[in-house]
Amino acid sequence: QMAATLLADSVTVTPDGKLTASGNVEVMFEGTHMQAAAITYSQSTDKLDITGPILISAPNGDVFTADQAQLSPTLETGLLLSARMVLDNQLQLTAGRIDRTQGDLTQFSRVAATSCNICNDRPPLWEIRANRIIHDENEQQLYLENAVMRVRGVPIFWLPYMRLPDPSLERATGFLVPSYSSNDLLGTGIKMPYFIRLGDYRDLTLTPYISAETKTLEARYRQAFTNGDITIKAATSRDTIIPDTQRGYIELDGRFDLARGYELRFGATGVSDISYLKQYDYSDQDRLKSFVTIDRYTDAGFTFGEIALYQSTIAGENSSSLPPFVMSFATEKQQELIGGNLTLSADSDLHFRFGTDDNGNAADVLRIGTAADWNRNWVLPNGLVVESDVGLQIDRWVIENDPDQGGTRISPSAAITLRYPMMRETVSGGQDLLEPIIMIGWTGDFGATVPNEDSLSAELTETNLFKLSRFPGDDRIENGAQIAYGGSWHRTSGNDWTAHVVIGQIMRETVADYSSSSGLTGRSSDILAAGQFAINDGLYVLGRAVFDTDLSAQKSEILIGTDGDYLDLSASYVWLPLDTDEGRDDDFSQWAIAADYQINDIWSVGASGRYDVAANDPVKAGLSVGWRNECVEVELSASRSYTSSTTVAPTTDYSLTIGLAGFGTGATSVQSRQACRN
Amino acid sequence: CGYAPIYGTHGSASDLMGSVSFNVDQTAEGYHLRERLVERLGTPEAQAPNQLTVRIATSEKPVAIASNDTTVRTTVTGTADYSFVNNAGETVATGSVRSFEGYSSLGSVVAINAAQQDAYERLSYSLADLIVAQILTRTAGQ
Amino acid sequence: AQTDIALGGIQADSSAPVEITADSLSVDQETGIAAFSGNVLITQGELRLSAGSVEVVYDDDSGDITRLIASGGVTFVTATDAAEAQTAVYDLADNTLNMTGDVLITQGRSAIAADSMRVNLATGKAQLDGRVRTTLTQQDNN
Repeated sequence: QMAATLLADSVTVTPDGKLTASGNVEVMFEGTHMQAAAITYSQSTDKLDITGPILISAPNGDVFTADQAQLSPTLETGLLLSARMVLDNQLQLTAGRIDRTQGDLTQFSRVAATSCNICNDRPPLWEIRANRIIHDENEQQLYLENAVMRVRGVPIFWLPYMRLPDPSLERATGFLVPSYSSNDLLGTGIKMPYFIRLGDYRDLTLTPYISAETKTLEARYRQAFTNGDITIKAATSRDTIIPDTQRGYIELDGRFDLARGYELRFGATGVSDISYLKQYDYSDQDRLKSFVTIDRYTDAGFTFGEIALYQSTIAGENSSSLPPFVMSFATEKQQELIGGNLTLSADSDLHFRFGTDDNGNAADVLRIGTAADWNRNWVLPNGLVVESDVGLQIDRWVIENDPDQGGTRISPSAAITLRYPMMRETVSGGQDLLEPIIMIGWTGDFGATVPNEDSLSAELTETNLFKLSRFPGDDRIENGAQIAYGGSWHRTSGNDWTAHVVIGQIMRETVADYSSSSGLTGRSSDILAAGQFAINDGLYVLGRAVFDTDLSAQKSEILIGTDGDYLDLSASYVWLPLDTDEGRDDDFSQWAIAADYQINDIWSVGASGRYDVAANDPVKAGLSVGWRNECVEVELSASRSYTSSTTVAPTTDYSLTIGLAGFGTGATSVQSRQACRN
Repeated sequence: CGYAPIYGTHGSASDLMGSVSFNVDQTAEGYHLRERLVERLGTPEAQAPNQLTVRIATSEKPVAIASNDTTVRTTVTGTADYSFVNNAGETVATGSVRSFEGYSSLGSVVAINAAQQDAYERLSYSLADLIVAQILTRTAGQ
Repeated sequence: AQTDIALGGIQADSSAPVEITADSLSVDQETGIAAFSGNVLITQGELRLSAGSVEVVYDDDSGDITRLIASGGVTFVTATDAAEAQTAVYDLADNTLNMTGDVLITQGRSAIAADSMRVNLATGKAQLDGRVRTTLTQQDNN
């Protein structure tokens, strides 16, 4: 019992069962709405004969226009003449005739499909003409017969039969957007990705990559489970770089939520030769890590366990001495104790070397450690915050293949930190927070001193300035008494910008085994200054530097960025003085910049660059230009890498991708419809 | 010069210590962030009236690459979105803070792993300190 | 599925005898118009017309009723149809019915609404104007 409603300026009814409606005629039926100039309905044929201009909008957003039509009263079946249909308000199909059938099938005869604006002054940017297109609403597919692709009216290619996803389809098997690229190493080539949907939870993408220098097949398999997912990437190539050998790689990554909050993560990478990944730009990792990790973090503690194998991709680096096999375990529990917080922890690290590394080190080291730490805060009536810390750490090393046999180290520690935070209101209604801080502490270091493997490169920053040790690992601690003084200043002004500065220095009783550029050498450290300035949702500047006594900057780093609507900028500058402990044989200063600017709805440009100031030559540079309108998205990019070694050569890389909007939800459906120029 | 202590008898944040419960990510960064927040704002009482929710996002980028294409130093950038809700359910302060830490990526794998882990821990501490400073300055008015 | 629509058009035999009842009647000698008012009910064969008030116009020579001018809410009922409007003019001479003001015709389950309607009671041809609104109800074929 479905009722279609008809509205018109005037209606004539004749006894032979004919109704004629004319003047702003509208018919509504279950969400489908039609407007027409005139309609005649005859009971005998049970058909609506409609004279145009006809406009039909279906509930799912499809829109039909036609000059003439004959439809069922429910507007579901029938035919339209010289009609046009717009799918998902993107893809327009203009046809001599459209037949709508009961089973959600719509057939277009003598049809042109495009998502570009149709202006009568010239043919659209691209269109596909076909004898017949059948749109299957259930399958969300478009089947084209005898299809010709035309650009500005010029036919480019012809296909007897073609199938395309309609704009509302998200995951369907089929070709993805091809990309064309060329670089010095692999020549000019094209990648044609083909996506295969294997049900709702798995998919496989096969991408043949054919160029003058290489025949490569890339593959990516993904599978989602209820409690996790896995991804497998692989590629196999025969190329002219290493002729007559099958090169390739395989990489597995997975993540699973286990019971009681534990999470399992694992990854493995195998590669035929160390330069393959960088040459094909599949990964820029210097070391490949294959690992299994299980961990759990809660408010009251954590447990962490990892087994990892490392393989180097740096030319000349012997993987067997990295060390390649590293196992680590750590667990920590926190509980309340006499008004304070007691942290009990136990951990152990084990690493094996199957050979000797460049500086003759072949040590296999096992360390087992346990520690207890109690801290408590008091707030005095005058606003002074007193933080007390008492700790005991005991570590045992067992070392083989090395003159040093290891031993046990016992390290008690105690510290008092005094903070006096003060605030005032600023004239602009913001707040100024000034907090002088002083830490007085002592650490004992009794027992063995082992070779320093995990504490080679320390950093002095505003977060470990007032801690007892700035060493990253366990092999070293700061011995003796020390005092760290300084302060932080924080200003928020209304809601639009904030500034933050921390300055401080450390004076200590005995010199600690820090690397030269860390700023922590000697009995008095360099002066640390760190700060940031950030405008709400706009520009931010973050910086940190250590200054030696004559106030010349040692290690320093600055980060600048914005993530505005139109400009995406991130720039960094770093200055690292020579430091053999940290693997640098000379000074190192480098700036890098990456910017993407959306000029208007159509044009976007991007630039990136990395320049080595000390060596005075560029490292990487890149440019990209994007052009898009309502029906096409084109991205042209070029990048140049100047780095070179025995496995990596300087290469220039160009790539071009063209995506047609309107097929599947892949390419963007930019709403910037261009008006016709007439 | 107009500064007044914020803790102590009539400080603007005198009842803040211990009155905040923390809702953080169940990750290493979330754990160390909470550890630092407890150090600065005290262990939360049983029915702590205020709640601070923080979500962290981190990303790594090489900041110095040698001429033989090996990464010399990597910078970890972190942003933390926080919202501070008082016992009446009003959102008193919300926003996001950003910080960065670097670590050397040369040398043995053991040294790099330790430096990387320490960098992430320092980043969580830095984000926590910035959030505490934001809360102290933004709740001063209320 | 057969679509049912108020299509039969209204038909009546204007030659049948007309019977009029009303609360009161006043006759105007010069113009020869009789004005019935108060629950006026006119029956002619199967046709029944009720209205607030009706003016009846007689032919000067034959004395037959030539026109009925009804107002004050008119309903016009035949064996198969019902029509209502604010005013109606039933012209027995050329056998036409002219209704204006919230016209509503119902036949079985379907209905047509319009501002005005002219029906030729002999041929059943109806012409509706103003924002005409009707339903094309589709009987289930099962």
